[in-house]
Amino acid sequence: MTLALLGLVLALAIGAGCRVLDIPLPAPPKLQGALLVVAMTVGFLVSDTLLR
Amino acid sequence: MNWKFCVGVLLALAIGAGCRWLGVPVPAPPVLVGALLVVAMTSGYTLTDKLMASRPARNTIHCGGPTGDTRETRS
Repeated sequence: MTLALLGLVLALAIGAGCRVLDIPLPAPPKLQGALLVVAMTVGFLVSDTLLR
Repeated sequence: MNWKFCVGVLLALAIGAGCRWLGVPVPAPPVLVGALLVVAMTSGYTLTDKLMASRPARNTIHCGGPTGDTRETRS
C-alpha cells in the first residue's frame, strides 16, 4: 500500500516534470485518455473474475 | 458528460473484456494500480499545465496515447 502511494506520488511528479521541461509524457496528455486506459484495465479485471 | 466519452468508456471496457476472453494481451496495464499510475501521470501533467499558462506546451502532440484532437481541430 505504501509502495503504491509512493508510486502515485512519483507518477504525479513525472507528469509535472514532463510539463515543466516540455518533454513528451509517456501517458495520454488528456484526463479522458487516461480514464479510457483505466476502463480497459477494469474491463480486463472484471472479465478475469467472471471467467475464473 | 460528453456522450462520445461514454461510448469511449464502454468501448474500452469491451476491449478489456474481449482481450481477457480471447487471451490477447490487453493494451493497458493488467493491474489497477498500474492504470492509476497512468492517471496520476496525466493529472500531474494537466495540473502543471494549468499553473504554467505563460509557457505553452509544444510537445503535447508527441505524448503517449490519444490527445482527443481530430485532424480538423489540430492547428
